[in-house]
Amino acid sequence: MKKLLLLAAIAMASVKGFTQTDSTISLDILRAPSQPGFVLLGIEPENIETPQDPTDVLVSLRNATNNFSTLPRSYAIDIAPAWVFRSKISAASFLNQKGDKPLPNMWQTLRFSFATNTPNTAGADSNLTQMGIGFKTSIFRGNKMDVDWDSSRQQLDSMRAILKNRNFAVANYIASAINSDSELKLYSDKLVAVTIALAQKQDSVRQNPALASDASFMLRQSQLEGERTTYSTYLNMRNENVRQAAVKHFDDSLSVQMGIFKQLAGELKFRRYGWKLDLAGGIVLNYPNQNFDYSLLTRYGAWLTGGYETKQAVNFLGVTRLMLNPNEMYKDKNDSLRTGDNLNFDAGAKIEWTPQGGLSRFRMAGEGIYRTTLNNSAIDGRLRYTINLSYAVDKNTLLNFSVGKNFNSPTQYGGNLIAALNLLVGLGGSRPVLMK
Amino acid sequence: MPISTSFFDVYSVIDTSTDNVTLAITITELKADPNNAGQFTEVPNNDIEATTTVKLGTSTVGDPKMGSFNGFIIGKNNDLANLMITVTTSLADVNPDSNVVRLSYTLTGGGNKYSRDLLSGVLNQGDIVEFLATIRFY
Repeated sequence: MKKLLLLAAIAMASVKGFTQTDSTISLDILRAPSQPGFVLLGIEPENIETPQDPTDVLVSLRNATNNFSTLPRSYAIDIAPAWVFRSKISAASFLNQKGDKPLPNMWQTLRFSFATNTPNTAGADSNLTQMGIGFKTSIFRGNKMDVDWDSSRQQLDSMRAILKNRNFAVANYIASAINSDSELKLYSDKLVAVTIALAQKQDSVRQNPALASDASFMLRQSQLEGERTTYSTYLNMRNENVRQAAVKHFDDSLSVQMGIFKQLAGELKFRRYGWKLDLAGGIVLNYPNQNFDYSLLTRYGAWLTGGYETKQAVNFLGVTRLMLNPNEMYKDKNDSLRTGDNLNFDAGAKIEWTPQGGLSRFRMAGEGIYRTTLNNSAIDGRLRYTINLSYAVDKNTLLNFSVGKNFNSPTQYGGNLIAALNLLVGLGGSRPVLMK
Repeated sequence: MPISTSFFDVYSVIDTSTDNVTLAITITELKADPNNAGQFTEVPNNDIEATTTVKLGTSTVGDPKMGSFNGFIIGKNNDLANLMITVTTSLADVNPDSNVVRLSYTLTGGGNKYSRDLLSGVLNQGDIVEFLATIRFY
């Protein structure tokens, strides 16, 4: 089973490599680092993951802040199958989802996370490699949508200028074509004539209701109505042909401008807010000798993260997590080393703020989690707290810095410093909108 | 309402009147109603980007209008007979929360009040669609 999971991970990553990119708009949807794989390994800079829209593939390199002198020892990749295999997904439905339909939400936001960590340890564990395999999905992901028009004003001004130029050119083309179309003029004269004749017939009936039962009068009226429909249909068709010819002409001749317009539209920022609820879980495998055929299941569990994000982009989140650690080493009250299947329960809270109503590149968060071991009274409760700062370096690229205190290990006492730098790169932020 | 982005029609004016004939266009964003198949509901925040140019013959009338507008003077009744206007609206869907747009045209000041709606299909964010209303005065 473990091998199957690994092969599935490799296969899914390979499939992404062959996925064609399309010309759809690219939305910047990477907002905060949160990878279940890292959470399972216990090295996620933020232990309470902020619900977010997934990118197709999310790559993370994590490093202790050792003066940036060492290569990263931890790597993670997240894959969102609904977007990797997205031929049947409508981004319109993705965007229009109001968070009140859990099943579509869960499929569209489902992602699998694969992370590895090589702890910087000596002795028997010096060859240890850990692998976390997790999943995450959003049951509710914000029932409100906000587009910040003020901060997008520059894009909008550019778009309006392009739109205005195009409209002026199209209008000139159409007016010239319509007014030089002698057949359209001829049939519009006929339509006017038949409309006037019909109006006169209707006036006649109003003045002399007995005409309504005059067969020849009504036959002529019926003929006129038929003629009116015929002329009107023909003129509508001819008019539409002119419109389509103009659209095609300017789609071709203004293709560069239209490309810029589409890009500007795609750069408009939007975000969801409101109630959010995520479900995540997974397993951790240890490879003591870095041997693929020999691994130990060392942790598995699941957690719920939920809360409310305000329109001003302040997140209030809580988490509850159950994690079983088979054969975990711990110290009892007498400082004797023992092993046991410890069932940990975490409860925590987080507050997160992104300035400028969620549109700033900078974000800060603080969180605290209290852990109790439900089935082992020998292990004391312990606390973890961190402050996290992140900065959007570029579109779909985040740099995250975390500092704080980790959970005390069951085998030692005293604080564990968290000081980590995390680089996340989201791949495949484009969202296709299918015609329906 | 069928999806259509153009129409041709006629509108009566009063030869003896010097009153203005005016045009109004109301742009409404719609989205599919998840509770009623085939039905649409209005999107409350009208953030559509649209520009309209009105041509009387081949001459431009007034300045291009942005978004919805009303009271746009096309001309006096007695000047318009036998002339034709083309009303070209270029519209972009920049709001990811909507995908259908309705344009409601209203002509007033002539023989009768005239109203007509056009409805676009589903738009991709950033797509531009052109609506065309051609009206022959008589």
